[in-house]
Amino acid sequence: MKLTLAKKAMLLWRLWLGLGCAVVGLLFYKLLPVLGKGWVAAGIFAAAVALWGFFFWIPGFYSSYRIRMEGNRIHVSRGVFWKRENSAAVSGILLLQLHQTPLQRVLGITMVTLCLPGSRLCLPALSDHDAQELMRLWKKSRRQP
Amino acid sequence: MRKRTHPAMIATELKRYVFLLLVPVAQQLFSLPFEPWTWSLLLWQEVIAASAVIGLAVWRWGRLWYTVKDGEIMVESGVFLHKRVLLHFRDVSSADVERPLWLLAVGGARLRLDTAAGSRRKADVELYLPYRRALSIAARVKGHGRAPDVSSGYRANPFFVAVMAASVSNAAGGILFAVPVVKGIGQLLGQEIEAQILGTIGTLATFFVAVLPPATALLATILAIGWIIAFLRVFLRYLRFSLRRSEGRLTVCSGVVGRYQSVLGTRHICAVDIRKGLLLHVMGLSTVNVICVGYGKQEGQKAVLLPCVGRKRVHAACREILPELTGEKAPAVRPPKGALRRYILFPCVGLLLIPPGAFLVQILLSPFSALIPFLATVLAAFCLWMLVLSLLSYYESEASIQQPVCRFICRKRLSLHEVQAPAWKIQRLAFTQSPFQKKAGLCHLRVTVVGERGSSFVVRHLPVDAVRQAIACFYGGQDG
Repeated sequence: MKLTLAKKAMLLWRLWLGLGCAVVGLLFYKLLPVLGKGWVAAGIFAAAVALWGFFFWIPGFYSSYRIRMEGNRIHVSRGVFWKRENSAAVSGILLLQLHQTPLQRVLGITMVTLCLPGSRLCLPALSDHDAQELMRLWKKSRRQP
Repeated sequence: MRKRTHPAMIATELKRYVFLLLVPVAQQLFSLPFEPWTWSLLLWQEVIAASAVIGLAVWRWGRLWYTVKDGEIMVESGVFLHKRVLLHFRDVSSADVERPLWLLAVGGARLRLDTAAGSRRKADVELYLPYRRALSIAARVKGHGRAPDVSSGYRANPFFVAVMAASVSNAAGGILFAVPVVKGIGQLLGQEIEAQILGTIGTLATFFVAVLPPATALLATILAIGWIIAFLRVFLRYLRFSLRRSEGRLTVCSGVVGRYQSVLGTRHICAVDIRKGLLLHVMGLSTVNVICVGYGKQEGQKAVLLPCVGRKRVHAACREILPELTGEKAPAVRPPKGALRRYILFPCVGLLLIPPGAFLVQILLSPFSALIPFLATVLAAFCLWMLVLSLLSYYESEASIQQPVCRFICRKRLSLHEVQAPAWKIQRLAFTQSPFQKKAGLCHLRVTVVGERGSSFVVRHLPVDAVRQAIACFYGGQDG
């Protein structure tokens, strides 16, 4: 079975990045007379990085996210430059946590944390439907003797 | 069906310091005549702020639900940030039902559930519930299905509880508890009370002046008071201690001022840890603790199984209560005769360095000359204590790394530990060898037992070949 990140996850991340950039930009604008003109170059560089993140890194990260459930195991792989793969037994998940901020609620996104002994696996932006499905599968696996 | 928690939860949402901020507002409201049109703007602002704080706490309580269904519990919480936590009772390693005095008065109880997967610092689920409901949820913790039941219970003698409290209490803990309390009393009842308490400490210090330099008398008084407070806290919490085993669950009850109950699933218990400090060793007693996820994690809680037992009875008592975690004595690796000097090296060096060190410091820091002999005596007493403990540790240290139960004895901080753990609960075995040990063919063996904090124990100065062989046998046996 394949789970995917919610389609609106990209929008959410872009919103967060935009908000962060707006705050930093405002701070930068206010502090510019104190910092001096040499910092303008640094500001332009930071803005370029943010734009690259907005248009390239976020879509890349989103498309790199793969969640697969095969039998009793859940595999999560992600990463644009540094690839990372996690695999865990569903029966080893002792605690399931679901978080939703107001913005995530509006967009129908849920953050799911799978707690295993000694480690955690975080799925940052599942759709509400997939989160419920994952919860149902976990419940089913835990009920087995 | 979704259920609400006990309204006592509202009081916990109004954290201690927020609660203190509400007191002056309430004082003003009670002292002024009820004529809101005459109140100043400042008072109105305070009243609105206080109402907002209380309103938020009530709102948070109103948004907290829990559901118990099909052997699992789901907790939903949060006003803005919604959070849902889901766990199965069979994964719960320990459940605590606590009734401190204030909860006893309102008929509530604090329920804490812990699994091996949650946070290391706080419980995975913490709810304030009516007492009976909390007990019924705690009773759902699953035990060892095939474990034999032990019908007999255990009830601790108050003297043994006092001995345990004396051995585990430390002055720093008492001071850390007392300082916020004194500050809180000062804010609630006025600065005069706080000054009076501090004045009493000053008066008590005058009793020590006859035997101690004045500069150290106040310090000694503060430490003594801190120790007494810590002792009383542990003693009152563990008085009326009783232990019962049924259906593969251990139920530990204690407390005289408040009531505390912990339910441990025996299959989640990782090890039995029999501890004895020097004082307990002289008295022929030991404290039996368990390493179990969640148990002993909360503030003021100790992972105690039997507060104090006579040396001859301790193993029989452990076998009776937790037969699956205790095994017969097996051949063990012990430190060789030549390792004695290594065990006592550091305390001896400390003892030898104290007189010249104190002399030097007295010359260099002459304004503190009255303090230095006292500090040197305290340090010498500590080194002597460590020397005796190290000697004991040399004679008793051993490691038996075998299937099905591993057993090892070593010193950890200021007490000797005898740990017995099932082989499958051993997380890691490692030996380290310093350049000084290499020549003598010795090593330190570090055993890590499964647990939240990965409880590690180091058996010092064992023969490296024997350790290597034991580890190879252990993992060979485990693979097979």
